[in-house]
Parts: sequence; C-alpha cells; structure tokens
Amino acid sequence: MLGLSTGTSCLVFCGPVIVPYILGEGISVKQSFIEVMVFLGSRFLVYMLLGLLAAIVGQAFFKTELYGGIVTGSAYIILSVTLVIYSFLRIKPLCMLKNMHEIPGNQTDRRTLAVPLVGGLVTGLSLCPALLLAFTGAAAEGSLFRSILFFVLFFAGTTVYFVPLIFLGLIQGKNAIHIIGKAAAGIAGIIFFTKGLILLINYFSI
Amino acid sequence: MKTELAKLPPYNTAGHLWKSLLFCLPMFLILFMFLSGGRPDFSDIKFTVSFLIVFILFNYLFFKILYTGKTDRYRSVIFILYAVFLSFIFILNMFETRDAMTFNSADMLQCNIPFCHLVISMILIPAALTNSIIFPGNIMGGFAPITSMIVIWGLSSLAIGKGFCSWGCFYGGWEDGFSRIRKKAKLKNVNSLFRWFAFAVLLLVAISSAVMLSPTYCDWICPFKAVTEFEQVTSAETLIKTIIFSSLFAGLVVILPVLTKKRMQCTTLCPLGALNSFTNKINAFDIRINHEQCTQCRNCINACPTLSLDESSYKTGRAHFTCCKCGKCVDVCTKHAINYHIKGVPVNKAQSATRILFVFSAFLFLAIFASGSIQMGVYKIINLITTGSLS
Amino acid sequence: MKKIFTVLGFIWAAICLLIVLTMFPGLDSFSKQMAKLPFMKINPSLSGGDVAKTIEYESYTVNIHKPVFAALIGESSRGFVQVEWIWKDSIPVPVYDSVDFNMDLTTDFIIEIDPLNDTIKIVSLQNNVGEIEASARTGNGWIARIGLINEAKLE
Repeated sequence: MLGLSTGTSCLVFCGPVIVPYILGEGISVKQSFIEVMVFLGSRFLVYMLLGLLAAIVGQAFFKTELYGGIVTGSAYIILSVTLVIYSFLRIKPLCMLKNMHEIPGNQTDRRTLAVPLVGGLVTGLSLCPALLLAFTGAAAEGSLFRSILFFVLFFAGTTVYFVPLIFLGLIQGKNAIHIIGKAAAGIAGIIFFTKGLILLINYFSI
Repeated sequence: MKTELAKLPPYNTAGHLWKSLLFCLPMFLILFMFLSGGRPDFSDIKFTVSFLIVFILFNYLFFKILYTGKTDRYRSVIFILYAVFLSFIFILNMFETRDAMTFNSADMLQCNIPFCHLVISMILIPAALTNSIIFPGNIMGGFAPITSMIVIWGLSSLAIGKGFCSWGCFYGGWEDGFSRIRKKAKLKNVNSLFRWFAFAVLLLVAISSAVMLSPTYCDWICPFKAVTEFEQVTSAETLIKTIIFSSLFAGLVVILPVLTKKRMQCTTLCPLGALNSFTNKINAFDIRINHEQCTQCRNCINACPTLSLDESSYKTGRAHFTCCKCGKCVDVCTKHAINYHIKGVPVNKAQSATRILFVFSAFLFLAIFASGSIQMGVYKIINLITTGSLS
Repeated sequence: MKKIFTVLGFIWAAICLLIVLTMFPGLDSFSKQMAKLPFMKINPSLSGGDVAKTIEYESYTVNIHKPVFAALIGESSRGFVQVEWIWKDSIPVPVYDSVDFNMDLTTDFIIEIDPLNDTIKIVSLQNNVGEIEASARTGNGWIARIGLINEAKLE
C-alpha cells in the first residue's frame, strides 16, 4: 500500500532520468520495455541491498552525512557522466555539425544499456522521500525477512506507475523528439553533476 | 533614383512619403494617448523632455519601417533599448531599496519577488495539479504582479504568437544587440537543429518545477539574473548557482551571439521561447516563401537569428514554428520572396495590407510595453545630467 | 472558397490588432478577473500557508500558520510550519516562545530569538518536529519555517 500511495512521487523523481533517454533513443515499445525493465531491475537490486544494509547497520546510517555526501554525491556524478556521454558524445549529428542532414532512428546496432542500468542504481541510492518512508516502515518490522519482504512489496507498488513509460516507444519516427530526448538527457546529466558536486562540497567543508 | 526604387519592397508605403505619413497618423495618436496616460501633465520639465524624446523616437522608427519597407533594423532599436533600460531601472531600484542586486531569504519568505514571463513555462503543470502558483510573488499589486504578466503574455501570444520573443520580451534585446556587433559571423553554418535544445530545457524545467514545486529555471539556470537580481551567495549551492547563470550569460547572451550573429540563448535555452513556438500555431500571422520568386540564395537562412529557416523551408514554403517574426529574413531577401503572411490568404497576395496589419499590431505592443522603462530611464539620465544624481 | 478564407484570414488579423489595442487599457480589469480564478494563489510551500492562530503579546504578535505538506499529487512526507513574529514597536524584543502548532494542548517546540545578535534557535519537543529550515529577519519581525514529518503518511 505504501508503494502504491507514494509511487507517483517515485515516478516524478526517477522519470527525468529514464523519460528523456527513451525519447532520445526513438525505439519501439518492445525495446522500451527492455530499457524500463533494466532500469527497474537495477532499482530493485539497490533497494534489496539497501534493505539488507539497513537491517545490518541500522537505518540511521542513511541519514548520516557520509551517505548523503559521499555515496549519493558520487552516485550523482557517475550518472551525470553516463548521461552526458550518451547524449552529447554519442549523437552523430552533433559531432558533425556542419554536415547534418538526417538523424537515423536507431543510433547504433549494438545498443548499450548503460543509461537505464546506471540510472536505476543511482535513483535507487538517492533516497527519495518515498524510500525514506519505506525505511521507517521496514524498520518497524520485526525480522530481517519481513523487512526485505516489506521492501519487495514496496517496490512492486511503485513499479505500477512506471508501466506507462514502456509506451513512450510509440513516439518514434520524429527526429525532433529524438533530439529533444537526447538533449534533455544531457542537460539532466549536467543537473545531476551539479547536485552531486554540491553534496560532495558540503560534505568536505563540514 | 530608379535603382533605389527598384530595391524597395513592393509595399504601397515603401518610398511613398505621404502614404507612410498617413499610415503613421493612427500610431501617432494612439501612442500619444497611451504614453501620456490620456491626461498629459507637462508641468515637470524633465518628464516632458523624456516623454518627447521617447514619443518622437517611436514615431520616427515606425515611419522608417513604413517608408523604407525594412522592419528588423528599426524594431531592434526599441527592442535593445528596452532590454538595457529595463535592467538599468531594475538594478537602480534594487540598490535604492536593498543596497544590492541580491534578494535575501526575507524577500522569498514574504513573497516579494517580481514575476517575470519566463516563469510561465514552469507554473502550468503545478497550477493544473495543485491549483496554485509556484512562485513567491504578488498575485496583484506591487512591481510585476503575476496576474498582469500572465494577461500580457497570454493576449500578446494570441495577437502576435511567438512574435512576443521579438516584439515584447524585455531580455531578448540583449542578445539582439550583441548579435549585431560584428558585420559578419565568425562561426558560420550553425546547425539549425540546435533550436530543439530549448524544447529539451522546457521539458526538464516543466517536470522538475512540478516535482520541486519551485521554478527551477529561475533557481538554477536563468542567465538574466546577471542583469536583474539574484540570490545572495551564502553557501556552496548559491555559489554554484551564481557561477552557472554568470557563465550562461557570458556564453549564450554575449559571446556566442557576437560570434554567430544568432540569438543563441533564445534559440537553445529559453523555455518560454519553446512554449511560445506552440502559440504560433494559433496565431494569424506567419512567414511564407514565394517559390516563384525565391532563388534559394540562403540569405534568409543565414540571417535568421533563431535558426527557424533551413533548406526544408524552401520545400515547404514556410519558416519553422520557432519563427519569432522579427522580420530579418524579409529585410535581407533581395527578391522580396519572403514576407509576412496571414493564414488563409494566398501567398503573395495583399502583402502590403498584411505587413501593415502585423507591423502595426506588433510595433504598438512593443512601444507601449517598452515605453515605461525607456521613459523612466531617460528621465533618470536627465536627472543625472542636471542634478548629478540618478534619484 | 479562396475568397472566403481570405476574408476570414483578414478578420482574424484584425481581431489580433484589436487585442493589442484593448490589452493595455483593460489590463487592470483583466488582471482582477484573472485573480479571481481558483488557481490564482501562491502555493503554500512558498507562501507559508494560511494562518491558523494569532497570539497577541504585549510587545509583539505571533502568527502560527497551518502545517504545509505540499506535493504535486497528494501530500508530502515532509513539510514545515511557518511562524511569524511581528514586533509592535520599532524596538525589537527578545523572544522565548513555546509553540503548539497543531492545537493539541502540548508544546511542540520552543523558539528563542535574539534580535541583537540576529540569532534564532529551536528546541524540538516532539518526534515529528525537525530543525529550522529557513528563517529571516524582516523589517519589523522574524519569519521561521520549522521542518515537520507528516505523521499521517506513516500511519
């Protein structure tokens, strides 16, 4: 129930990472499905690890400056590098500014899943408000097993809201959408870099 | 004389003194009414002089638009003056009331921040979902209240579409001015696909503002904080924000426009510019190319400051929907093949009437919108010259 | 057909001109009508929300606002409560107030303001009350926003 009630906030926090990517790739619904599943899968993995870690060291660890500063800040910077490389360095047209004629729909034959994978890991690590509530809820459970089960069900509840993203693959064939998606992903990368930098500066200045 | 006449565009006022003066008369009367507020009071000499300077300048420029058949070079004079004088008056007001260009947390907490039209692109989704405006400003009253700015933007978008970006925006004049410094562009052949970047920014700021319930473009990105007001630097976060907007101002508003002769901030960053592009779809006016007269010389493509013209425009016969109707392409076309056009009217028909209707509407909007700031600025300068003080 | 479209086009263009002509004279009136629209209010996360209670003391007035847990959809798990102190005289006085923001007759936090040194401190007495998220000295008083956890979300 917690997942279902807070899932919309999950979507709006994690959406800016995955939405521009799917738009920028110009891929089919089937491929969007794979991308979104990889994103959710890596989020799930992180949640399980966090749940385990919370049970071992206590949820108070996640409220410390170390986690908020070093871990989250570094994660943001890794994601930003991934997004910037994906959008600004992989786009053929922007590398050949003077000779731009058309943008192909699928950029490469061998497609990397780096962005949804790293995106899922980082958004999982970034402790959105919904996840913080989940920690509180899980901590109230008696055993490790019940805590992990709580996280699994919480994740399932929030995942429902990501299903519509799969259908973003229906928007394809328009070059403008591809450029907007890629540019948005790149700009999102710069924003994450700034956020990560601020977290790291704040940590090291204390 | 014959060669000069042959160079003039085929408008019925171009080169005709009395026709131009006749069409200037309504503008003369309307401007007098608006600028004087209907009740002229010329008891203050300085006010009278500033009023006359602005009034004569505006009417002279409108006359030149009609008489020479050129639009952009005269429009840009008011557009640039507006940007400069507005910043001048704004910063002066900041120093008079706060002794600095910065606002502090008290202003934020008391919702005393002036509203600017760029915020409109960020408040729409939250307004729909939360039934509220996510900006710490005044709804009514005070300086730049929210309702007035939204009304002005909304109505002008209906009237002139994205022409707001060339005939209304009080920031665009900065780039317009810097883009005219060099005679020739240093960086040529800027890829016209860069115009989609502003839509990417719109997507991100619309989503992030809705999530954060705070206008993120204003918070983090807006380069025009460099010429208006900004947050005090009190932490690493505010320092990084200051670095970001200063760099963007230097890069996108000054350096790149000088080198490329394009309005790079408007084209690649401004989220309201991207939103305004959609208003072009519901506006009566657009820019069309007459295939019969066009020789595809690329003058218009090279001149367009917002990358709204490219080779595909020759095929479709129209500018992209990002066109801000500045008139530069119309001015540079030697064959007079590209012109203002009213939707529904056949291309190349009634060009004079079309141009008069658009230019009259757009110029009137710009003149009234800009008159307050320019007049106040001239008044302050006269004050400075006569008394040695700006106040 | 072409003629009809041409006439309609020119009528449309003339309407655009009319809009410009009426925009500025009617700006006041249009703005007042717009201000009556339901969404024309500042979001509570920026305005601080409505005032729930006003307490009058001899030298100052305290306005306690309703707790704000604004979110795009529904309520947020974290929010704040805004409290304002307005001094009645031009000379600011030190403040030491126990605040019960949710009217449950128990003190939620204690605020101490020292106007001479421009400092403000909080002592939280409940689990759902956090630290001061934002505070500022105004022309004749202080505003403070105290962080809260939304207990309704946890239940």
